Amino acid sequence: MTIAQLREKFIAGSYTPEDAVGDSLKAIADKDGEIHAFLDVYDDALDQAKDATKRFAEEGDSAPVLLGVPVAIKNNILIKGKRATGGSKILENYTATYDATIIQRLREAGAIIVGATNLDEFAMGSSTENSAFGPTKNPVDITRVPGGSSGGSAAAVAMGAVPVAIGTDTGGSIRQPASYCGLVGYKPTYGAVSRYGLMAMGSSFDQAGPLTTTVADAQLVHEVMAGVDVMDATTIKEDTYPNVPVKETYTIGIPRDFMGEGVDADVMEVFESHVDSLKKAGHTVVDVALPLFEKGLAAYYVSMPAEVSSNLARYDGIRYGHSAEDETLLDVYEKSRGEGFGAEVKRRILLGTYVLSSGYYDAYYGKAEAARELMREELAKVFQSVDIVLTPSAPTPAFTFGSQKDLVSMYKQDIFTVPVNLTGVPAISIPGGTVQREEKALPVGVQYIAPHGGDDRLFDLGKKMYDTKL
Amino acid sequence: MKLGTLSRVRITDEEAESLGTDIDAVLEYVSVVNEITADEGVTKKVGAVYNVFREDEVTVEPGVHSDDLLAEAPETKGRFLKVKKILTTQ
Repeated sequence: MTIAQLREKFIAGSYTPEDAVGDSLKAIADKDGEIHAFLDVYDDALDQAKDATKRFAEEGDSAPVLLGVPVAIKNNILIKGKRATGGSKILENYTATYDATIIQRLREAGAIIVGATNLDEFAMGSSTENSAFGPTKNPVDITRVPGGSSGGSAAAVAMGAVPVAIGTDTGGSIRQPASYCGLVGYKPTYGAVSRYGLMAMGSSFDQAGPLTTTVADAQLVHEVMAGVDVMDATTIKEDTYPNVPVKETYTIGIPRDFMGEGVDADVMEVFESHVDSLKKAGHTVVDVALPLFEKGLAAYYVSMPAEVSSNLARYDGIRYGHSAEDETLLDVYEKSRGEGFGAEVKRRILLGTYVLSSGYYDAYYGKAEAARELMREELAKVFQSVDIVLTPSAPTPAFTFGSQKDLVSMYKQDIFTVPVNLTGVPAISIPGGTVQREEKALPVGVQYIAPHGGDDRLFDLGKKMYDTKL
Repeated sequence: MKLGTLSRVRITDEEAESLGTDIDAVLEYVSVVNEITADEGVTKKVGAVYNVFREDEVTVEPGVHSDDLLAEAPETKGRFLKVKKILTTQ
């Protein structure tokens, strides 16, 4: 059921928040043994549901927009008094001491948090295989990954436990799992949503956003979470970027050169059929050149680990988290981190330390940041002639567990999503169709990219092309 | 492994080998960033978003969060975090 459908029933009284949260907890109890989308389930959700049911009886349709809606939260987002693991052993027993801004806002809007979802350790990965607490399975096909790093959030929605789950997206971590699980996944304009209370991975990339079954639901939840926050100085105002108008029909640019090798043939077929339906709906489709985007992934794998190595320095075994017993302070740091971090996190910390070291800083980090600037300029030029850029969300459907052995080929799963984070623009992945793998129909997504501040345009086209066809 | 020391992560010999191979592979892959900017002198511009400062003022009562924060600390002594010695005699 969508949030809109739930609300209609809540107001009519034919189905109550208590029913919804009860069904949500039951779905988790029935299915999550196999799927493992959740790291923790919150018993106090039922009490909140009782209150929400009472409030609906009193307030009717003036009740807050998310009142009684069950929500799942990626476990790198802090909820006061609840365990916040970040998918890491180093925070296995860490309890959050405050609420993230987005948690406060979801609560104020009446949402009921039913549990915390699994993720790749500190959001580093494309499959949830890097979680210290074991992988999550894709509800569409349990032999396959749900994508990542917000794989638990995607699986929670795809298995029908919640109508919406919150994820974070640093290089595609909302959009790629949405694509793999047949959902809508949305990454806002950088700064649209406060990062206060999110475990920082790449601070100049990170944004939180919803995974849902409709674009309208994604918009609703985003609008609850978005807005200026004094606790995050990078949040943007309404007028930070020039107005990006919503239109009847759009000019849509396709960076064809960027989709050559590495994209599965049937994923391209789904993509082309989406292009056809855009044309049929009256939109204009043109080719655009974004030559730098192909190299964006390389810039990402310099800038991102650089930020990771700096951000994760805080996990040192002194103030909170896992602390190893050793002789000196330095020993405690090194041993706690050596024991607490998994392989992928260590790789990125070491890589980041390398590219930031004095002899290599200019050659790597300096170049990568300059490349980001050039990519922003290139994209801004393209947006002078088109309204939206269209790509597949990922080059393949969900892959099977353990099949991506080569590190760089795993990283290439994010080829279409990473340039969006590098440049800070908003993007949405909507289901585009399915491809056959071993007699299973696997979903694949298409990605719409808009200029900075063009979030509403993405919702508008997404609703026209997806919601109206459900 | 020197990088491990710089990163303050203890790396076992086994890990050092596989991490070394992985990092070399990634470094080779990311070297294309040099191609992007090789012929253009790009400087980072101040964009639409830049650092925002606020007045340095106390926004919460001193000590209101101390109990919660100390409860998460691995080792405390009274109202302080306890840490190991920094200098050794050697």
